[in-house]
Parts: sequence; C-alpha cells; structure tokens
Amino acid sequence: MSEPWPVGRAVFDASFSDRVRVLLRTRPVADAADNATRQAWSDQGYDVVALSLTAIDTVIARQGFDHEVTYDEAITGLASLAANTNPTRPHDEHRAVAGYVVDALLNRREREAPFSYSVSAFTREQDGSVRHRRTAVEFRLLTEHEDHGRGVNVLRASTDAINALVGGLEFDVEDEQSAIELMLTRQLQRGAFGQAEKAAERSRLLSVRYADELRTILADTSRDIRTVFNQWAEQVPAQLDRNRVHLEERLAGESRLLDHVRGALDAPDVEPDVAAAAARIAGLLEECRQRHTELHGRLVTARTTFLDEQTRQSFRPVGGLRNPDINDGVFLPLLTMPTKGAIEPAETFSILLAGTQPPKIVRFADLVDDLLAPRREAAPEEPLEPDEELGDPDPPAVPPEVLAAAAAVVDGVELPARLSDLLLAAREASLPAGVDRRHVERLVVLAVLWNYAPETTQDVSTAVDAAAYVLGPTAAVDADGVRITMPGWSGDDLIVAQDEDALARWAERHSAATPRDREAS
Amino acid sequence: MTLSQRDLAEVGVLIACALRPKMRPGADSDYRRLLGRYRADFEFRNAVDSVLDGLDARVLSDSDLGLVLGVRRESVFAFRLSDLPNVTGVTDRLLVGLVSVAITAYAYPTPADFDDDRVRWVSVEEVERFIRDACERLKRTPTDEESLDEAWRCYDRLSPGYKADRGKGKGRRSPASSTYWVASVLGWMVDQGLARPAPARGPEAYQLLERFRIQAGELAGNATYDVLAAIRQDEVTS
Repeated sequence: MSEPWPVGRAVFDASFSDRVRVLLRTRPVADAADNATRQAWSDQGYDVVALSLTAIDTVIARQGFDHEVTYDEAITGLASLAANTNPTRPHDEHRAVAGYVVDALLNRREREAPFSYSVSAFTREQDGSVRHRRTAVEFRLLTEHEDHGRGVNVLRASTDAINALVGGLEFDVEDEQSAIELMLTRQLQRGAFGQAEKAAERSRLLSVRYADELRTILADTSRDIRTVFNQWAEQVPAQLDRNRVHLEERLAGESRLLDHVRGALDAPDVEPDVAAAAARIAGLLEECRQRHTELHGRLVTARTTFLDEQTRQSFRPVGGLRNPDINDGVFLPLLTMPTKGAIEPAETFSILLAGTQPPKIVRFADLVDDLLAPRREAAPEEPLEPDEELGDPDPPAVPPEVLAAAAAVVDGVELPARLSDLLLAAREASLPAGVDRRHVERLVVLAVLWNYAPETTQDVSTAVDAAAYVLGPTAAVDADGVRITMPGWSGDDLIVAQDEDALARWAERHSAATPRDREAS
Repeated sequence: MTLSQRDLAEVGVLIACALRPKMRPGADSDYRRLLGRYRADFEFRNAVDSVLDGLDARVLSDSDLGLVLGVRRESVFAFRLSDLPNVTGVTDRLLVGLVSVAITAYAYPTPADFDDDRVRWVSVEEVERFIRDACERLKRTPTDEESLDEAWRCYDRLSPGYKADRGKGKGRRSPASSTYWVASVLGWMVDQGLARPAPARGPEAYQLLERFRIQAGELAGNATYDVLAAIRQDEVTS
C-alpha cells in the first residue's frame, strides 16, 4: 500500500467517474464537429460546436412553456445563424448545416438511440491490486416529443444537455441559485456588468433545470404512482415545501435585482456599454421571473396531482399499470405458435390497437349517389416518374444564326420590295459559315407569309415574333395578284413594306403600271 | 347535484369527439371545454365512464391529446380487420396482426420504452427487415419436430418485393408481397390516428403518434398477454 503509485490516487476517488461522465457529455458535439469534415460544406468554415450549443440554448429557452421549439423552428434559427458565417453560400446549404447539427444532437444517424460510450472504472482491491471494469454510459442530448395540444413535434433538451451546458454542476440547485443571486447583487453594486450578465445567464439555465426536475417527478407520478410512492412519502413533500419557499424568495429576489438594474439604467451619467448590459440583464431577469412564476404554479398543484393520481390509479386494474413486453412477451411467442392458434391473439392486438371505429351506417341517398358516381381511379401507390416533358422547353425550331442572317438580308434590301427581290438578295448575300442558304430563304418566305396571314390553328406567338425579328416590328405585307416567278417557289409575289403607310404609298405608285410591267418581263 | 338532460347531451358530445381520433382539443373549443369538465367534474366523469362502459369501451388517457378510448373486442366501435383492403381469409388477418405486433415490438422493444414519450419513427423497409430477421433466426433454430404450421412461415412465404407485372395492378405491390402488408398496416394506422407519414424522413417513413403509445402500452399489449396466457393454460390442462 505504501509504495508510490505511478498515477495519482484521484483515479480511485468516487468523484473520478463522475468527472469522466461529465466530460463525456460533450463527446457528441465534438464527434459532430469531427464528422462534419465529410459533409459537402465541410470547407466552408461553419462552426458546428457553436451551432450545437446554440441549438441546445434555443431549445432550453422555451422548454416547459406552452410553445416549445419545433424541429423546423430550430433549423430555421440555426440556418439564419449559419447564413452569417457564409452569407454568399446558398440558403439550402445553411439549412443543410442546421439540419446536420440538430440531427447530430438527436442522434438521428442511429435512429435516436442514446449516445453510448464505454468508460473504464478502476477500483483498488484489499490486497492493493487494481481492478478494471468496463461500463457503458448512455445519455441523450435532444429528444423529440409530440406536443399534445398542437400535434406537432417539439424538441426538448435532456437533463444531461442542460447540465453539460451549465457546466456539470452536480450540486444542489437551490444553493447554486442563492450563490448566483448573491454574486449578481455584488457585481451590480461594483458595477461589473459583464460578469453580472454571465451570472444572470446561468441563473436562467438553472431555472430550466429546476423545472425539468419537477416535471420528471410529476410525470412519474401520473404514470405510475407506485414507482414514486416512497419518494412521495419521504423526500418529495419536504422538497416541495423547500422549493416553494425558495421560489418565493427567488421571485422576490429577482424583482429586487430587476429594480436594482433598472435603477442603474436610470442613473444620470451611465456609460453606454453599462447601460446596454444592464438592459440585457433586465431582459434576462424578466425571463427568469416568468419561468419562476410558471414553476410556482406547477408547484402549487403538485400535491393535488399526487392526490388525484392516487385516486385515479387506485381503481385502475393492476394489469394496466404494467408496461407490456411486446418483443419477448407477444411478438416472439406469436411467431412460433401454430397458425391456427396465433390468429386470435394477433387479431386481438390489432383490434385493440386500432382504438375506435364508428360503425358506418349507409344512407340510402348516399348509396344511390355512390353507385351512380363515375368510378374513381385508384390512387397510384407509388409516385409517378417525374414528367420529363415538363423539363426544359424545346430548342427553337429556327437556329439564331439563321434568324440573324435572314434579318441581315432584309436589312440589305430597300423596302418596300417584292418577295422575289428579297429572295434574290438572299441568294446573293454572303452568309456566315455554317448557315444553310435554303434555310435563310425559307425563313424569309415564312416570315413574310406569317405577317401576311398568320396561321391561327397553331400557337402563333413564336412565328409572329420571328417574323417581326426578320422584317421589322412594324412591317406590313400585301398581295396584288402578281405571281412569283422564282424557280422553286409559287404563289403571290407579296409586297413587303416597312409599315402600313409605306405600303399604301407603294400601292398608289404601282397600282396601274406594275402588274403589266411584271407580266411583260 | 344531479346531471341535467343538458349535461347528458354534453356527455354525448364528448364521446362523439373522442370517437374521432384525429380531432384535437387544441383545435376545438367545445372539445377542450368538455375535456376540462371531464377532468374536473367527478359526476360528469362518472357519467362519461358509465356510458362508455355500456358501449364496451373505456378511457385510456385524458391528456391534452384528448380522450383516448380503448375498446373491447365485442364493442360496436371495435375495428373489423375485414374492412381492410384485401383482407379476406384468416391468413390475411393473421398477417395484419403479426405486422401490427412487429411494428410495436420494433418501436418499443422493452417495457421501459413505453414510459419514454420521445417520438418513434418506422419505415416500411425497416419493419420488413425486422420481421424478416426474426424469421431467419427462427429458421436457424432447430426444432425437435418438423412443424410447417408455425405462424412466422405465413410471413416468410411472402416475397419482399413482388409486384404484379400485368393486369390492372401492374407495377404496384401485390398482396403476395410482404411489403404490401407492412405498407397496408401502416396506412391503416394513419387512418386510425396512430401514425402519420413522415416524407421528410425518407420514402415510406412514418411517425408513430402518442396515441399509438397509449393504445399499445395501456391496452393492446396486456390484453394480448392475457389471450396468450389463456391459450397456454388450455394447452396445459387439455
């Protein structure tokens, strides 16, 4: 025993394993930061640790109130914070980062199983030898619950998370809180507002933890009073009394502090940063007081809860109090039973699980309507393949080069002109490489035709647009019975003018002479 | 004080609300008021409980979720499995039962799990794999006599991915596949207010609701225990 140990004796202390446990509570956060290097956004500089702590803070801020933080709210909040890290990155990435952080705290990767780590426990035997045992430490940080009133899922921080955040304070909440209050008062007197703010922050977190302790005992009571019967007989009444006195002091104390802080704010020559800190502290204290008031209400009804539950549960059949062991007690026995015998219990389970089903009564009028109604198509069980036709619009039928070339040809001819003149010009024009001359000719003809008589049976908007692009937006086209003589084309040799007026003038000049001229030539 | 006719009408209103599993007191002020009365007014509560008793039902929970009712099998409000699509023979009913038990066993593996109200998620694929694994284990377990009539073989015979390749149901799961039954039971649970789809969690993922935990933990599990115990008792005595 007397020989010196190569390691300190502290490893055998009872408090040692507590310290190891406290340290482990931060592991999931560290692991999350570690695993983040495998994410697509890993090199964008998001601080997963800071975001994780913010997530827990966000959840704690409203835990126990009527509207607890939902999963989506947490994501939205964190995403806006992440957006400050990297404002230039897309919003989806910020949401992805936020989702990653919350999912890591929920341990979604392992189906919300508790975080489990194995730790070594060393004990010293009588003979001086050291014994090593391996034990598992399991805990959760965030959990998802159904909000009964709203029917949405809300997040709650576990006691572990609250403790880890407060800093592993494994001692009496009440003393801690008195200490903080004392500290606050002194700090405010000395004007050390920075520290006072930190202390107020901690005071708030302690209030949350306090509420959680109370919630647990009340939940246990209403679930199965027998599990907490001994506690109610001995510790709980005393604890409730102590808590009530304590809360009353807290409420008085915090309103006193609030007055104090407000007094500091009202002082004539207060420095700006002191004033800002005092304002923040005032806000914090206000929230603390709100929390304490709520807690107080819960405390007042705690004893009634106990009595009510006692009355309620004493008349409950004992079988109902026991939680069933579905896996070993029902599932596996059922599987190995003969089919015929298994039907009855299996069906019983389903029917009792289903709850209620009001019997459907057929009304004659409805029946007739239903029989006459057209047959409904059954909804497809699987989503249809996304319709690919809804994708990119079709590529334009006329390549832009051809369009440009046709416009250039028309530009090169002095309007008003005959269509045949335009075609001649197209035939002689020097076209850019890769543009087919026939396509240009065809487009010119079509543009003129579209302008003269737009096809109404089809969607004309693109055709009219193309025509306007080639001929000009105000162009006007008319026919005077002259036939086109170009080889490869037939029909009217249409007249193209830059606008209606030009067309009218051209018609006046050519009304008599031109047809004959053309015919002669 | 005795209950007036008006009070008895309110008993009826509250029971009518409780019979609709998707109705929430949070969204309906009448329901909320009557639920509060049920909790606080002893006489009113007695009246509701007595009427329900006559209907072979009882209150399992009166939390903010609403009045959760459990039924006896003979109740008029009891679900009839034959109302489910494609449930015709006894084997189909057995499959529905087995899958319901399996979903419960998968989400709440130990008795202590029923005390934890955190949200549980399941998906068709996970449940199918869970039952399939149990079947595989049973396959490997040597039995002294060759019994081909055990309940698990009903499930094991189904193919996990069979889809009809022609006819009207083409490309859809056929009732000859095990995933059909898992998906069908989960869909039914959604209709009964026991679960809700969670598309964000992946394809065919569902969230089991608080009501599920109450029905399975407070009623269905223990009642099935009793049925199983009675069968065993018969085997011993006969």
